[in-house]
Order: sequence, then structure tokens, then C-alpha cells
Amino acid sequence: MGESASGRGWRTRILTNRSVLAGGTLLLLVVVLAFALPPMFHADPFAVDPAHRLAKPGPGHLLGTDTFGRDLLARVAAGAKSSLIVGGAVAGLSGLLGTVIGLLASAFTVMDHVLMRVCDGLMAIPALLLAVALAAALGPSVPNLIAALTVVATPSVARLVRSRALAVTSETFVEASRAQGAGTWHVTVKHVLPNVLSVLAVQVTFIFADAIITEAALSFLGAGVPTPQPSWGNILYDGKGVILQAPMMTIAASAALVVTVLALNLLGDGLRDLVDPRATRSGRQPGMLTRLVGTRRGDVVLQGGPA
Amino acid sequence: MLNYTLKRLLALIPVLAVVSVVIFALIHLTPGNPARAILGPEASAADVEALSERLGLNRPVALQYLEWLGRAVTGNFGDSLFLRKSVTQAVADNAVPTAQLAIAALVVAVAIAVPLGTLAARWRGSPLDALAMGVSLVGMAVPSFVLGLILILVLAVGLRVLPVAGYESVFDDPVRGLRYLLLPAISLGAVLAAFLLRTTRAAVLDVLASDYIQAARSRGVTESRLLFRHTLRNAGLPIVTAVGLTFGALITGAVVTETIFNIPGIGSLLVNAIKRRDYPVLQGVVMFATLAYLVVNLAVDLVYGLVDPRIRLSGNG
Repeated sequence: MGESASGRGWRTRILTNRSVLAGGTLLLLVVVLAFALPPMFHADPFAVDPAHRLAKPGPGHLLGTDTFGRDLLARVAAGAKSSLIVGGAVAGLSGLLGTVIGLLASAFTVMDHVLMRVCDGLMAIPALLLAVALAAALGPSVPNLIAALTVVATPSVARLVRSRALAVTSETFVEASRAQGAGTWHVTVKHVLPNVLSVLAVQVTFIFADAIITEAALSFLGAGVPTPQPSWGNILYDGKGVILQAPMMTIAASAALVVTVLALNLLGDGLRDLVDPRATRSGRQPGMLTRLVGTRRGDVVLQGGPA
Repeated sequence: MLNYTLKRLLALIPVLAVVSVVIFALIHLTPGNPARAILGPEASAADVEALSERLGLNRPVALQYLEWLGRAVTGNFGDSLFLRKSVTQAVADNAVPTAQLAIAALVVAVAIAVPLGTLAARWRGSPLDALAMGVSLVGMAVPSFVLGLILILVLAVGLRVLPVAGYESVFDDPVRGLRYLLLPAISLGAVLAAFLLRTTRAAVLDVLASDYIQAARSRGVTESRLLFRHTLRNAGLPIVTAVGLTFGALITGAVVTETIFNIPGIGSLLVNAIKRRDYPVLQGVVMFATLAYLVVNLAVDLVYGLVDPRIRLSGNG
């Protein structure tokens, strides 16, 4: 696309974008916390130490312990792993499913009507409630949680891909390709898909962030990651009961959650800048309005956090 | 306008059809026999059979759906399996605290976001703008229940200025009620404000860049008059739309925030329904929240059409 499509230009632009840099660095830190640190320090989030329940932060337990005497740092790190796995899986699956549905809808009018009505219906149910209800009905387990959150996130991707695809299909180069005898399949795969990928990447980044917030909320409400498996939502729920004695539980899990979501939001905003420079030039704060209009409902707004 | 209203109402029918199928399907998503899942592994076969009969699970699914839909249309979502009252009654009993919280949070959100967003746009690029954008960026990363916990730690436990949690209807005892309401309303409202702030700023910037503002400015209209008389009026519509769209998040946010502050609203009803697998209540809560969301957005659309003739007259309005 456009004049800046050379690989080097893109790389420089990505690496000089402050949002992308800051978000990427923070995210990398969370990934290290989740996957590299626990094996290095043999941190066991399940090891119970009844003699040191609700211990204050100290040498043995850097962040202290929880109600069962489990090491809080190990629990927060394991919670990071849960969040990244759930968020990543939801982002990947809904990105894939949403793209397929969006492309089908843009290519075939009959399917368009059916698929988009289904999307409208799913999007009319407040996102968090739909997720809670689905997760509760399916039963508490991580795969079920991922399935529930994917159902919630997919319609917004499908809508975005569809509208983007329709815009691309009306471009002159697609008309030219059609005039030369290209079929729907060729146009969709060779022309539409590559031009949809950039906005898709942005949307999927925001879905990653949304999914982490929603997972935490669901786990907090008791419909998410089943105990004793650690998740930030579970830690916050346990921490709420002992907020006077062990405020560290609330502080550590909150901080981890906020930093991760902030990192993904920064990354998404930065990517959006790169993908659509007009968004900033016209004075629009990148991300928000497009996300608002692109998905027409609460999950963008959920992005705003009130989970 | 009548035409536009009818069109808007008709557009709701397919949406409600899909919503009803999804909500009805909830009970059937349970692996195995839902009645067994509700009663637990200890229950006798006879009890399971009786509950299946009571819930109508033995009949063909299509028939079950039509019956359920027929009752749902009249506002009847069956009886709670545990509460000894109808789902509609249970939702109605718990709706007041949630509605109180949602309205209070909305007031907080608008009171923060609209002035701050307008000022940030007016002095675009200034330190104030940077601060507002920074705060909103962080705010969007903080879920309301997390902010609630942090506020409890700082204000209620640390400084001991407000009650940690609890509930009192503002109608029974306004002072105590408001004291209890303050922390939850700020938790939820501040997070919504982060989003509304950006929308307000973008909307005001859009209007400020338009030709008629430039024209007014060149005629010598003062900046403050320009901002309040010319800009805010026109930026109002996108802001109202954004408020309408946040309503879904407002309801669900209220539901989660409540559980932090032990407010006996829809949130506690929902949490208990999840714990006991009280499917009719689960379905009812989701249905009523969806209806509330749709009604608010319908109202926003209609107001929009009323204020801006371009919308009601355009073909796909």
C-alpha cells in the first residue's frame, strides 16, 4: 500500500513510534514475568506454606504470601501466564474467525444479511454479561473461558473486516482485476485480504487487552479461571477479603493487570497511527472513535475498562 | 419522524430474535443434562427427572424455545430455582441499587469528561491536553473493579474518610446513601470518563476545525463565545451518542463494581445465580440488561433524529 511500503521504511517507522516502543517494551516485561522468571527461580504458585500465611513482603517471599501462604510473586507471575494465554488465544481465534466471517459477508450478499444480523444480535448483549453467561453455562475451565470470550469478540472483527473489505472491493485496482477476469476467490484472497490485515492487527491488539480485562472480571465474579489455578481476577477476589491485612495482594495483581492492558493499548494506538496516519492528522485521538464507529457498541467501550 | 421511528423499531426485530436464541440456548450449552448440572452429582435420579420436567427439558428443543419466547414476550422468564420468586420479580427487587449506581457514575463521568475534554481540545497540545490524554490513557487500562479496590485501600482503609462498603438507599437516607454511593460511583464514573474524555476532545476538535467556526472566528466572535455557543452545541451529538454506547459498559460495570462494595443489586443476583447454576435468573439478568441497553440506544437514535434532520431523512437512517 502506498509509497512507504518498502520493508525498511516500515521497520524504521515502527521502531521510531513512541507508542509502539513503550507498549512493546512493557509487554515484553510481562511476557518475561509470565514465562521466563518462574522456571528460573523455581517459583511454585501452588506451594502452600501454612506457617507463613499473609506474610508481609520480605526476603523469602518478595511480595509476601496469600491466605494459604502461597508466594504472591509466583501467583502473580502465573496469573500473567493465564492472562496472556487467554488473551492471546481469544485475540488469535476471534481474529481468524472474524476475518473468515467478514470476508464471506463481503463477498456474498445472501450470507451478508444472515451473518450481519447474527453479529448485530450478539453485539446487542452487553459484552461482559454475554461472556459471564456463556462461561457460566459452559462450566469453569480455561478452554471454555476462551470459547466464551471468542464468541463475544468475533462480531466486532467480522464487522470491521466486512466494512474494510467492501471499501477495498470498490477501489479501481480491484475493478481492473475483475475486468481482466479475476473471480471472487482471487479478488478476496489476493486483493482484499492483504488490505484488511493492517486494520485487523490493530483491532486484534485491542481485543487482546479487552479479553484480559474481561477474564479478570469473570474470574473475580467466579465464572472465569477455576481455582486454585492463579489468575489476576482470582487473586483480586481472594485479596478483597483480606484487604486490611494483606493489601499487597490487591496492589500487585492490580498493577500487573493495569500495566499489561496499558501496554496493549499503547501498542494498538501506535499501530493505528502507522496504519492510518490520517487519524492523527485530522486531530482525532487514534483508536477511540474508529473503534467506536467500527464496532458500534460496548466492547470498544469495555476497552474503556468498566468491566 | 414517524417513518424514522418505525424504521428504527423494525430494525430491532432481527436483533431481538438473535438475542432471544442466544439467551435461550444458554441453558443447553451445559454439557450433559442441565438439570443434573443444577442439582449436582449427589441428587437422585428422581429429583433430576422432576426438575427436567419442571424446566420442560424433556420436550423438543424447538418447542421449548417457542414456549420460552412466548412467555418471555410477556415479561415472564419463569421462576428462580432457589429464590422462591419469579425472575422478573428478582430482577425488579435488585434493580434499584444498580440503577442508582449507574446514574451516579454517569453523572461523575460526564462531570469530569465534558469540561476536561473541551478544555483539552481548546488548548490542544498544551500541558493540560497532554495531562488529560495521559490520564485517560491510564484510565482506560484500569477496570472499574480494580479502581474500586484501589480507592477502598486509599480512601476508606488508609485515610478512613468513607465507608469501605455497604448500601443504603438514597431515598431512605440521602446523606448515608450518598456516602456509600460515592466510592462506587467514582470507581465506575472515572473509568467511563477516560473514554468519554477522548470522545469529547475528538468531537470538539472536529467542530473547531470546521469552516463555520473559522468563518465565525474571522467575523470577530470571541473565543469563549465560539467555544460555548458555537462549538459545544455541535459537538453535543457525538458526545450523546458515545454516552449511549457506553451504556452497555455502564450496566455491566455497575454489576461488577457492586460486588466490590457489597451493594445488593443485579451484580449480587448474578454472582449467586452463577454459583448455584440458577439458569432462569442468569437468562433473565442478561435479557433485561440487553433490553435496557437497546432501549437507551433507541432513545439516543430517536433524539439524534429529532435534533438532526439529515439523519432521519437519509435513506439508511
